[in-house]
Amino acid sequence: MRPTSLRKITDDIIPPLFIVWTCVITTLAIFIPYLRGSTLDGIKVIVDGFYNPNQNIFFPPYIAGINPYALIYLIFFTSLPFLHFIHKLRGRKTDRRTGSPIFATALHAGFTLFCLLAVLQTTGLINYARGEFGIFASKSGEKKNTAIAGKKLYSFIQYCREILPGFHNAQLLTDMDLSNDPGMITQRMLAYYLYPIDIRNVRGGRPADSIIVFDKADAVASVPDGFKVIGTFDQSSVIAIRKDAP
Amino acid sequence: MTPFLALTILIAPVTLGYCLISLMDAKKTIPVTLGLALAYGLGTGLLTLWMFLLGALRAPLTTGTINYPLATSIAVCFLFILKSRNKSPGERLKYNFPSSRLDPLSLVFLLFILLQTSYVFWRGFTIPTSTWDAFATHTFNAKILFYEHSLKYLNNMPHSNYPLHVPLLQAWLALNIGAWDDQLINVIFPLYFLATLIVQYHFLKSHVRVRWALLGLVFLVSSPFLVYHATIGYRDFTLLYYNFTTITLLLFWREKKENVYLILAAFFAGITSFVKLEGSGYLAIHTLLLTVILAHEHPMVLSKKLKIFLKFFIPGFSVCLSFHVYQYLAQAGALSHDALSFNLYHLGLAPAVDYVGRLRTVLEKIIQNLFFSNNWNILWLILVVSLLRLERKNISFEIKLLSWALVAFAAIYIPAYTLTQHYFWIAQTEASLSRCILHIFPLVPVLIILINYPKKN
Repeated sequence: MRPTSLRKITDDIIPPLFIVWTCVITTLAIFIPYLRGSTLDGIKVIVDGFYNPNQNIFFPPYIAGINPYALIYLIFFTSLPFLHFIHKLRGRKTDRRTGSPIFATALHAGFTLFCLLAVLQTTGLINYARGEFGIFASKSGEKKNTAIAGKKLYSFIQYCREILPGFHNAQLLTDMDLSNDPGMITQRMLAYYLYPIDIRNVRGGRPADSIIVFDKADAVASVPDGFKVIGTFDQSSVIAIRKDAP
Repeated sequence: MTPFLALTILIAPVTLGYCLISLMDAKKTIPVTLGLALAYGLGTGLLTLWMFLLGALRAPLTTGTINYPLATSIAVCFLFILKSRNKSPGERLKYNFPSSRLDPLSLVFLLFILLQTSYVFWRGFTIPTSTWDAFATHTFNAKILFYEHSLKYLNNMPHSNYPLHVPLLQAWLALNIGAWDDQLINVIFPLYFLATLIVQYHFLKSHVRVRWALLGLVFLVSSPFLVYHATIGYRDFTLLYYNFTTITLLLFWREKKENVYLILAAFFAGITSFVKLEGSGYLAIHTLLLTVILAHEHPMVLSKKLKIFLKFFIPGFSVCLSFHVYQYLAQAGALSHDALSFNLYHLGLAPAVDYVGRLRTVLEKIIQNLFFSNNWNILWLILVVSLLRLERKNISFEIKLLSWALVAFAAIYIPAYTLTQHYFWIAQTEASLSRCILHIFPLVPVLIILINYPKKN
């Protein structure tokens, strides 16, 4: 690839960058007064919002109620006529592929905005990773699981494993709404961490040999006949086994 | 326990995969790094298929029943390699380091890629099972398989109709570790990420210069959604790896006409269907892409084309059908049919609804996701501009095929979401669309690079 001369940089790269960055700074200057709190805090919130992980979708950080990508496309499309005008003024050669400089210009502008977004997203990622590092780095497996599941839930899970070692078919009794989060994910976590204590009836057809009561009012009273309480975690969580169990 | 224990255990299936690739690649056309990236997919895929076969035959899933055949296979492959080799022992493993140094811009690209990669590996090696689907479905299923040593409770496992590659691989890892470890069973996922990078790099390098190939990787890892998914133990990234690798292998085959690429493509296409249910649809697309490739092979006679087609079709569809036939015959009466489960066997047209309105909603959601979410940077915009910039005479076959691959994926998903009961997943939730787009996303940076690469270079 031929080396990039200074003239190529001044002719091909600086003008589109200049226009695009002018548009970016103008847009930020318009919206900065709408940022909550101090300007620096507001910018940090927005930057961190560019890496807001979710397993289903990354929502963009809205700026004064506006999707930042709408702003990006606004910058993109408004910078194109300026760049096209500059190309015409300079009598630039047309794009050798399409006969028009507009698409090459669009790519320049697009790549510049891509770099801007990559910087924002990577900065957000680094800030997010720093937070995770503080929580998870050099911690034992139990401490990590506690951070994920929550102290009460994971302590209860450890308690259950102590009281009920080995394979069991257990029935879960709870006041949580299991058809929606957070109840649904709590039940899934319980099922995952407790296994081979089976609370999701994976080994179907077998009668329950134990009862796990979690987060239920009157926990002890809710234990059905035929079962005896063998462990009390707290007022709302107990463990019971069949009275006739060996 | 450190992740290096799990990595050491994974050497076995990678070795098997690499030995098989070496045996098939008589002309040594596959570079070492690409071979290792492919060996990971091949070896782990064969391993889980073997475990599935054991489970289907009601044999116990233990280290004995799995590892002895694995070790024997590796030993047999080694013997064949030694026998077939006519070069000196050291030559085969010689690695040719790149002779030219990277220019400053390429170094910047490389640093960006390394930053994202180190985050993926740090997160994948540090944070244990922590996400919804892992707790609810596949990692939970893996734990069941680990404790029960069989598939006998498959029917009662969550989403029992879902393919088993990832749960089986995690269960195998735990069996070899000797205990269930919430952390170590997730080390497989960063390796899929690394393998994808290597495959994409090698594919691009065969068409463009190093700087542009690295730029392609920069585009790939600039998607925060993709990078995050490589760390969270969902099956979507695994599907991305197998799907993307299949397509690149088909294109490699077109270029080099070596059987190794075709057979690997067939196997990877089959395993795609063993990772997630959507993979079965992707297998159909892979078959279509091969058909298009063969249709453009003008000097080739029809009988040869048919032979090549069958070389791909038979292995690929055998892998796919083996799981579905087992599921449908052995479990069909009791397959779960709940609204939360994507169920291939109970797809139905939603009766008497406003399909036009649904189509509008589906298209709106797709456009919102591609251009206004924080998933993909603005790569889809750059792709659109690149396609508009394309002159008809400059459209290479690769660009055409990859563009048609994107169209084919859209042609599956848009009708599927519009016409069936799964409209719910796109209209009422954000739970599926981004992940479906993720499976085909690597095609986007590849297309951008191929379209914009200056022909003179």
